[in-house]
Amino acid sequence: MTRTLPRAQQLRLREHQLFLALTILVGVVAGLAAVLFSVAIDQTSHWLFGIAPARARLVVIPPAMSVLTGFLLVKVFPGVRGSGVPQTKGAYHLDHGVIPARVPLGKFITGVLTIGAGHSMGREGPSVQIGAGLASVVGRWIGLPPDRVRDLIPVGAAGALAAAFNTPVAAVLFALEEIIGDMNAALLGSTVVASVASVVVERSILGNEPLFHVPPYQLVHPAELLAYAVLGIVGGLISVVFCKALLRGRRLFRRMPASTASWQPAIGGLLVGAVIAGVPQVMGVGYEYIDQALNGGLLLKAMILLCFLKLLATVVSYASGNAGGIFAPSLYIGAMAGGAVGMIVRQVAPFPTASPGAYALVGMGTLFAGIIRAPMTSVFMIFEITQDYQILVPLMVANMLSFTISRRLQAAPIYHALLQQDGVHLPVAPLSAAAARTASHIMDVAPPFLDPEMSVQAALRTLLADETPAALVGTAGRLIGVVTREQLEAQVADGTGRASVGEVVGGGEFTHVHPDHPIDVVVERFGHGGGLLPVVSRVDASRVVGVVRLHDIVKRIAVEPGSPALTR
Amino acid sequence: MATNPSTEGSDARARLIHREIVQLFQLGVLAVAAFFVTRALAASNRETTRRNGAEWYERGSHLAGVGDMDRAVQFFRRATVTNRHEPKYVLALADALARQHQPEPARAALLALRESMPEHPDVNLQLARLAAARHDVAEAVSFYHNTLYAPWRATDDERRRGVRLELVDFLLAHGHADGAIPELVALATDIPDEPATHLELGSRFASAGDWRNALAQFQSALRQSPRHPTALAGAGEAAFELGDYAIARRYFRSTHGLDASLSEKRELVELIIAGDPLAPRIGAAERRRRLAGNIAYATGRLAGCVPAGSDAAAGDAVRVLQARAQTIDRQLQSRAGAEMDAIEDGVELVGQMEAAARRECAAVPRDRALLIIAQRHGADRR
Repeated sequence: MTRTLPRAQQLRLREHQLFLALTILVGVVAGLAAVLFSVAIDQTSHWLFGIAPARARLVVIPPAMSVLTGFLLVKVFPGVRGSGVPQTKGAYHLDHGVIPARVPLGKFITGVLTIGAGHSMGREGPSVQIGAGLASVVGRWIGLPPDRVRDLIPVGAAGALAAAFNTPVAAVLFALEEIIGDMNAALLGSTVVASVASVVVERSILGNEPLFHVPPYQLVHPAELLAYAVLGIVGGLISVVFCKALLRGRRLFRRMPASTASWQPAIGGLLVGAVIAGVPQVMGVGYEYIDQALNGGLLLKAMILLCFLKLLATVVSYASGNAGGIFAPSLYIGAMAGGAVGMIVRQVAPFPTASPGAYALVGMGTLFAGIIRAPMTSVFMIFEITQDYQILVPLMVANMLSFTISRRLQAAPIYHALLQQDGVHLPVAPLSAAAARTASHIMDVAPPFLDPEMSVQAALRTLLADETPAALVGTAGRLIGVVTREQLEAQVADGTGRASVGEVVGGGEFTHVHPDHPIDVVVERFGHGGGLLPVVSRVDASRVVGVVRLHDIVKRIAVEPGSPALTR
Repeated sequence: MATNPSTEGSDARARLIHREIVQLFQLGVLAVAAFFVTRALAASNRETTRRNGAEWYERGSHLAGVGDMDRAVQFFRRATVTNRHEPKYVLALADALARQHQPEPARAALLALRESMPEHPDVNLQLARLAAARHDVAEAVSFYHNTLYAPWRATDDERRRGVRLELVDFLLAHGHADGAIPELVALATDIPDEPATHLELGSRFASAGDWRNALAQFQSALRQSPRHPTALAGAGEAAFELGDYAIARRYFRSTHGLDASLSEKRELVELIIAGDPLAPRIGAAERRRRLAGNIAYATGRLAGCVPAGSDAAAGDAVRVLQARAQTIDRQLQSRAGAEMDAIEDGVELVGQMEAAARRECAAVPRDRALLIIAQRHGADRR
């Protein structure tokens, strides 16, 4: 005999199934968009530059194209400058996932023109914004409620990034780590589904070709970890220089008169054109030269020069307001810095070392961890690129050092700092931590107790004398319950004032919290607690570890200077 | 009629779900259409990239042809990035890098290509040559074998034989004759029956010390070209090394213009054949005559090379040998005792006297001839 589900339950199940289908479709659409974006950039670049462009062309095309994109970015598609990741975070955290349809369209057009014209920028950040934007548009077109539309943002972002990098796991981690800001987010399943769907689409179109062709590497000597640690420090410092230069450069452009906003990308284009006319290896996404660094195809001087010039060109391209990301440039700079460190280490180290290509690979992750501040994404991204476990330990050592140095020397992560320059303040990590503050942080650890044998009248007198609305009944080791002043007054009015408070409480259930309960839960339960909320042990609910009163909440949270609750 | 609000809510929700299904279907259709459009554009982009790669390869080849290896490497690199699985590009890059004295990047590029084409003969051959250049015998042999056992086209047989010969030469140059001989034996079954090929193989067998196969190859060459001087000289030398002096003399006598080493061997062959008291098909008188002559020569050499003033031990040894020589000489003159035993003892004694003389004097051809005779028959006696 089959059991039929109630209709409401059936509908709820159907809704879940539909959301799953929608998630897959969003992953497919985001993946297609990312592939199309990449193809369009390649075609544009080929159309503009051909195989071996003349120097004049290299000088002229970036600023000329930026004149057009500058107009589009100011007049037609405002809000699509730069990478797109900060805007996507803003849309997720502040705008309920609403991204207007013109944003993905504008990002696509301006991104293709900008990166195709040789600006030193990446295509992954824009892909994230395009993917998230399409997800938002689709969600609203379907008529999803706002919280569901919001949920689709990281789904679309993960799908787009998975296709752009061919790294499905790293894309999921990026969506959790960077877009949502919570590795334990409930959207893990949806992002995984979208990421897989996107990668399936991408591979069926472009083939299962890794982004970079990397020879197998290994840790040649245990002492080599020291060399990787040095790379981590160097990478951290370069990350800080990059972030500070980018923010400073952007501030400089923002101080210019508002009337110049359309022309600022062209100013950046002029400078970039001058750089790439001399060193064309710096132009565009630059994966080709990352590949060369990974395969030992570049000399020490070339790598140092490319590291410096790529940093400069990216800062100029980004700060002047062009549309493009910093993912690929951070990998490029990291590969060059890592390769250079690897070559120097090979010359001076008293122990055998891996080839400079291995250091270039670790350098990529190091700069990514330092600049983007997504260390887990960084580790998994490099792992997915290489599919080699051997590189993981050096990678983690270098990444963590770079991440730590970057965090120490550059307070706000780059995407937060960029948004702050735009006057947007995202909820930052301390706020999340505040949300994670628990009852144990605010409770009074030495509460008074009423003896269960005490009469109701005596107990009422005590409560009135203490000006407290309720009291715990029992002992610290054995709590019987909570009695309120209203209960006692009602007992006295009924003429049962001689009864014991133990009888009034009766040993039934009472509202309580545990020490690890978050403040939100404490506040919610406090409303049901009659003005006094016992905090009891999880292993023995009759053992009291503290008590929360109204003034504890007010004093410890609301009026504490610098408390996140004030900024919430 | 009163309506149930709960049922009404459910119906509205069901209608919403129905609408969402239709929308999702529409979105799916759009996604499928977008998929095909994107795939077509990606194919077009791949074709552009392929053309770019071919163009870069052409330019790189031109630059390599005129000796501009730096720029050639740059162009070949760009070509390989457009298509990492095109062996032509990677092989050209590796070749250019090797010519630029950058064997490590060349090796890395080839190894990367080999991951997707483990049986490509040219990739393995280039890797073998890179390993050979850095004298890594094990790796070179491994890649040479991968090359040899790769699937070659039927028209490439000669190239494959060339690779095996290259491997043989590499092994011989690195003192691995034991490894070279099996390759040569395999090659011997796979070569066309032409004098030049037999000569090539014969000389390599000779270099590897496999004189029997060397002789067979030279004789094969002589069957088609009986007066070929190199084949005659090679066959003579091989026969000499095998101890077949009569055949060696026949080949040497047919040869003119031998080099110094072979001239000496020819002289030795003549001296051995003329001076061997134990040679077959000679009479007893001739045996005695030869042995007497050899003893007289060896005694004279010993006296000349080890003077009377030598240290006591050497002097004693010489005196013992001389005394034995006189005894055998007397036996030969008196024809006493078993004649063949005396001649064999005499041959052995001559060998000992020559060995003693050689420790003090440089050997001349007759000394070597006498030593060879003694060694040859000493081995027979043992």
